[in-house]
Formats: sequence, C-alpha cells, structure tokens
Amino acid sequence: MDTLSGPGATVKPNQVERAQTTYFFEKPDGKIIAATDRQAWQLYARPNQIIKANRQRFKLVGTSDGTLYQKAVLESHEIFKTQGLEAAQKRLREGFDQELAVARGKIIPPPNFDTIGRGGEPVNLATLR
Amino acid sequence: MAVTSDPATAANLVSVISETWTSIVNEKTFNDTVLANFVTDLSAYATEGSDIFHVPDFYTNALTVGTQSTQGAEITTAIGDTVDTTLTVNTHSYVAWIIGDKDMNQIASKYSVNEIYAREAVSLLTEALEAAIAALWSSISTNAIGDTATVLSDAEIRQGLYAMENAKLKLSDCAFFFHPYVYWNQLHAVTKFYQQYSVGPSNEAGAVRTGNFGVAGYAMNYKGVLYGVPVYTTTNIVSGLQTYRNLLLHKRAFGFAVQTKGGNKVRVQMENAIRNLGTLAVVDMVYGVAVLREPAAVLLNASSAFLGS
Repeated sequence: MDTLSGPGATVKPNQVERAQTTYFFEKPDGKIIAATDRQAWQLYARPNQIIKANRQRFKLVGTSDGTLYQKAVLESHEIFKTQGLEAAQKRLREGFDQELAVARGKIIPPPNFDTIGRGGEPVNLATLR
Repeated sequence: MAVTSDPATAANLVSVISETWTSIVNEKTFNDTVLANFVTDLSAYATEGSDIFHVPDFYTNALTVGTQSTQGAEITTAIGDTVDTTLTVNTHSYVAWIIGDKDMNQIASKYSVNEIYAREAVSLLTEALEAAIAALWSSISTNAIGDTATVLSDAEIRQGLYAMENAKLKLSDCAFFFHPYVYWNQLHAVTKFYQQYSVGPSNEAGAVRTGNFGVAGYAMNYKGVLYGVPVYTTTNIVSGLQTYRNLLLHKRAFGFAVQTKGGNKVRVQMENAIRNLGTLAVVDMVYGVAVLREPAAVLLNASSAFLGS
C-alpha cells in the first residue's frame, strides 16, 4: 500500500515555520544549498575541508528573507488537499527555485556567530558594555 | 457579636510568612553525544602538537587489474595518485562568566552556582562539537537523497543502504542519524516499520510499544536498528528551509580532533579575579572537524512541511 499518497494516505501537512533569512551557497560541484543562522556562518567563514588538496570555500551566491519559500509551503498544503503529495512537492521545489532567483546577487554575509549572547543570538563584543 | 468577622489574611501576616528556596534546580538539558562517539576521532594524534592532520586517500585512484594477453610480453604498470585529505584544528570555543564577590557571598549555600554553570558550559561546548560534525552534511555530494520536498519513507532508507553497499562499505560500520522530528513524525509513520509481520515474532514488542526499532530503552539517544543498521537521534541534525539533513554515515566518513590544553576534551578553569572583585570561570575547547571520506556518507533530506499521520 502506498502510504504517502492516494487512498489511506498517511502523510498530512505540518506546521509552517516562520520565514528565516536564508543564505544560498554554491558548492564546488555547482550544486546550490540553502542554510540559515549558524550553519550559514560556518559555511561562509570556515575553510571547507573537502577531499583534495584544493581547499575551496562555498561561494555565497545570494541572500533572501525566506518569505517566498514560506508562501510555497502554505500553498503546498492547500495543493496537497486537492491534488495529493506529488503536486504539493512540486510546489515546494518551485518555491525553492523562486527563493533562489530572488536571492541571487544579493550578497549579504551572515551574522558572525563566533560570539553569541545568552539568547543564542550573535553579538558584537565591541558594542557590549 | 460574631468573633470570626475579621479573619487574618495573608496581608496581615505578611511579615511572618516565609518563602523557601528549594534545593531542586532545573538545569538546561542537552542531547547525548552521538556523532562524536561514532565518527573517527583523531584527538590522539593531536597530543604531540600540529594543527593539520593528514589522512591519505588511497581509494579515489585505486590500482587496476591488467591482463597478460601475450605470454612473455612486458607488463604494463599503473598507479594512481594518492589524495591528501586533511583535518585542521582551527576552532577555539569558550563559555565564560564572572560573579562578583558580594553576590557570591549572598547566594544561598545550598546552590553550587559555579558547578551548575560549569556543567551547562561543558554540555554547550560538547553540543557545539556535535553541531560542527552534523554541519558537514553540506560537503556530501556523491550520495544525496531527496530534496527540500522529500517526505522520508522506506524507499529513501533503502536507497541510502544501497549506496553504502554499492560503495563496498560494511553496513556493520554504519549508523543512521535522524532529527527527532523525522524519527517520530515520518519514520514511525511508515507502516512497514511497525506492522507485526515486519517486526518479528508476535511475542516481540514492536515500535509502537517501545518507541524503538527492535531494542527497548533510549540510552544515549539510541533508537534500535533499521535493516540491521543502528539508529540514533539528535537535535543537532541541521535544518534549513524546513528541510532536515539526516545522515547515514560510515565511521570513516567524518572525523574530528580535540586539542584542548590540559588533555581533557573540555577544560574548566576558575580564578579569583582581583581586578573585577569576582570569580571568573572559563570553560573552553579546541577542536576541528572534517570530511575524511565523502563517498562514505549519505545525506537523507526530509521536509518538515509534511508529517506522517
């Protein structure tokens, strides 16, 4: 029995997370990945220790506010109710592409997570008392 | 005349009703260490110094088998390049706090404040190492299964296992690492994983009863086995754009090295800071992480936009 879609489907829409500032990076193999918060800083600031002697870093290709993907998640939930999981997944993938398209060229580095405050947010030591 | 017309209230007795600070303290909770306990630990090599640790790669350009077609003819030799894989210890993380002498004297003696904070700091730094290892998902290219829209199912699990065995890696040296969201909301919704016909004998407790796949108990976030491969959960599995980056790792896929001064993984130091008139506490750790064998790692993407019911 197909448990993901169709009659007796056991998949249903879940909560929609709040939109987060999303950073898109291009890997040495050309693939694009998305990261937020601390992971984005780790990809941006740390040397990428991949196999081979050539230490290439991931290239920041764009930054966006994540609202387009959040909208895609909302719409995918509605699409799921009428058209099933595959159509909903297609909408999610379109959302990723739309978010990336908007982000391209907007190079805003992620905040420096090397120093974080009590709430887990990055802080600038120079501005602390 | 009524004698109970003006009963005493708490307001009347405010000066003699006491408050009690209990000895029960709610401390911050943390994940058990699962990734660092599994992947390759190069810390032993760091005790004699060095900042870069080499793990030569002989598998990328392996030898080839030739055929002696003509008896007596000169053979052809061939050898590929070795590849230099390195791990650099380049991160020095710390947690620090200072408590003034006046405040320290006035804290109730039942509370060992610096001990409580020290425990929290040690766990924070250990989690930082776990998070750094989990963040290596971004370097996985050869075996990336699913995308931001994938709802993890049995098919993805078997694809990952196939990728490992196809790379001629022993499944007995591999383990799954899932985010608890994926483990509880997607894996446990896969009918095959909890139906009795796949669980085993009828007297064997299934996943619904134990919460695990075949083994009771939750020690060290160990959740049993799937297709013979151990399963662990940790909230340090990275999430972005509502996608969890779960991992199926061979123990040689990732590595880390801890090189904290003093020899322990985490160093706790406290001193009486005269210039601040307080007690300064610093907990620190020096470490580095790296991908040692990229084809020995499988990335299992799972979307949190959907869950299994």
